Amino acid sequence: MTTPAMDREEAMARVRTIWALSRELERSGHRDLQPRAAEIRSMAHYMLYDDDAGVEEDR
Amino acid sequence: MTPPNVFLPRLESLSRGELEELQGRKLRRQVERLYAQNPFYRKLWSDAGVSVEDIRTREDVRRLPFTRKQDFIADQRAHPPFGLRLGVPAAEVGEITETSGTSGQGKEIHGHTVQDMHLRGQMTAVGWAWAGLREQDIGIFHIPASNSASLYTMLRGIRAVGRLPYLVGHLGFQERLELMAAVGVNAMYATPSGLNGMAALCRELEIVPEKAFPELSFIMISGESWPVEWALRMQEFWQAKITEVYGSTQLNAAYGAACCEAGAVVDGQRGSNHLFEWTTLYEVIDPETGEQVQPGEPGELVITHLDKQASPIMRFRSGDRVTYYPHSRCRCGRQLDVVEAGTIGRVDDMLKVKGQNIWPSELESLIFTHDEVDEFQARAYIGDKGRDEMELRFAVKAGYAPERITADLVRELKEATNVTFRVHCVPADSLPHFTSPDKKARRWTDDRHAGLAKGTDR
Repeated sequence: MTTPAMDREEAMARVRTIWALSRELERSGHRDLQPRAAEIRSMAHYMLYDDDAGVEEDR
Repeated sequence: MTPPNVFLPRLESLSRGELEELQGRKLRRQVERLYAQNPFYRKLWSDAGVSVEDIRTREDVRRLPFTRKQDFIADQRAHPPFGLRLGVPAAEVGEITETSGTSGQGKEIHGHTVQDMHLRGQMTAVGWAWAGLREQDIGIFHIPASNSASLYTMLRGIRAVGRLPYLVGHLGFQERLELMAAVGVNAMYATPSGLNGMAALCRELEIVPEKAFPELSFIMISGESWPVEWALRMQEFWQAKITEVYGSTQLNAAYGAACCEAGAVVDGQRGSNHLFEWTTLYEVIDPETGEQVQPGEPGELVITHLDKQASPIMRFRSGDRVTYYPHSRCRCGRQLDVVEAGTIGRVDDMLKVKGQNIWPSELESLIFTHDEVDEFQARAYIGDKGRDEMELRFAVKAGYAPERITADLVRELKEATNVTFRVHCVPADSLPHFTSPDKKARRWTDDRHAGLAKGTDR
């Protein structure tokens, strides 16, 4: 098994950033970006699920 | 001690108290959201005199009225295609699932938002991870793709844990075995009857699974009950662990419970499906009284989904009969309560055959629309090739010829159930005539477990 290039906390902070940014893109009004932004946000949502069980207010 | 195949490290290590507190919090959140946004539930709860303020803890779920399949169907008919229960703008629906429609009541159509779609993958991934799928593994799906089967769920679930999912359910058994041998397989999902049929074909073709599929490490089953002896024989034959999962369309078309590392049979006894209680609140009730049953008593599973956005499920009477136990029944350490493996069935008279739902009462109406039919008996059994079969024996009234009726019944039963019945006309005096009120149950028998216990292929 390879050694991770960043620690777990840092990695999860990045996921939170991706979740927040993709949510912004989803709401940006650019219809061509919206579907895939929603996919990215949803994938990030479930990458964070273990931390907050999907309760976004805790994010 | 931490179990080896953990997928959600924090959630899987929550204490019972922490889990129940989380459920209460998510329940409140879901009820608040649905009261504000979902006209179906707002009306249902308002009519029942329940307000948002009444829901404070997980126990308060019992204040909510039950929902049933017929409620959803009626809502859909009044407001097609999804009903008011959809609760999100239709433009946010990215996938649908349908129930089979064989109940005669119609098909439920469930919408899924993009987030629901990934929720499906997430919960399905838990089952594959616990069973032992690894990063480089190939997992395959033996169910034909449709809007009922959880195709996307499976692909996402396997990809969240392993490497390569591929489909084989659209192929005949021999082609499946050939593809599996060519591409490789580490794990597979199949119904018990499908697995049994493949085992029978392997024997016929002199395929030794240990040699043909040397990397196969586990087989995940669901959808039909099974005897322990059969599961042990399958483990021996395939040289792979048998594990079980439980899921349904109403569980977001995903898994809602799964066996842990221990598999479906533990020390020669039935294992345990751990309920995914972070995402769903389960109750097990006496179907007659609606009261909670005691551990070890069979009851009807009631589902309240805590994460679903579109077509949410609140206090839904699933019709599935389970035997519930506290988490301590399993030694893995997870504090998720369990339902016994291998005994999940129906509280009504539905039969599950070849993955299809067969509702005897509906078929009885269909059969007796033929005025010429005097009486019939039907049974599910294990056929020569180790697969589930259905047989219908009927008698005609005096003066009628059976040929055309036989052909019509074969076609109509196939259309209604997607299962091919073996239909035979027999002399009237070879069938009992049912006149008592329990006639429905006596016309239909399920001989499969007796066949399995005898040690036939299944």
